[in-house]
Amino acid sequence: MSDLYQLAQSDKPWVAQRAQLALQLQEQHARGDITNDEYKELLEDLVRTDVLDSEADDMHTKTMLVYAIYGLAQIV
Amino acid sequence: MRKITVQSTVTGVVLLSLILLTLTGCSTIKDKIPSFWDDNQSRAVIDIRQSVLDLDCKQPHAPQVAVIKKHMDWLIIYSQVKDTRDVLRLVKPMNETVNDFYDRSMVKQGSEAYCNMKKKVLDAQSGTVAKAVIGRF
Repeated sequence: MSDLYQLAQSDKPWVAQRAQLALQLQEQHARGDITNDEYKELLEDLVRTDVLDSEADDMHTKTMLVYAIYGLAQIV
Repeated sequence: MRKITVQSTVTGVVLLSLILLTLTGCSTIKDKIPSFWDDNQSRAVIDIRQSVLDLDCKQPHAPQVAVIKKHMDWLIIYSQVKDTRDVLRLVKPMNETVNDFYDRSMVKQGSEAYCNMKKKVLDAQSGTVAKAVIGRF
């Protein structure tokens, strides 16, 4: 839990946002606002979001690479 | 004569290896090559994002999630036909998030808190997907 509080203060916006979401989830579950099943599903969603971010980074890197190579081809 | 046979055999093996490498490498290479700009996919990701932003958790969830699912299904079917594998990999986690939401809502409406959290997650996911798809070269 203390790790999550630290991460919620991260200077990387996506890390802070994800940690804040996890903390909100934990609080809502503790208050009984969401059921155990819902809690479990939403935690899985946070993991899925990390996987999605990784794929998006990969696409972005490849796009930049294609753009750079295209730039070189224009020079020749 | 024998030398020629050996050379032919070696050439044959090398050629066969190259063909096999090319054939087996095709799917791997296709997995690595990035897809390019596509008008239809760009439109589809905005439709998905808009339907997520329109989600009102005070209203019945099922019909609203059905709209998100329909847009998501369209993008997946289109990407499968076009064989844009990077887009399919990208949307897979979000599709699972949407399907869980849809399945739960079809059986029994989830709590408002659950819907609000689901909306926050889908907001983050759809934003990332939209930027990645529209940001392509």
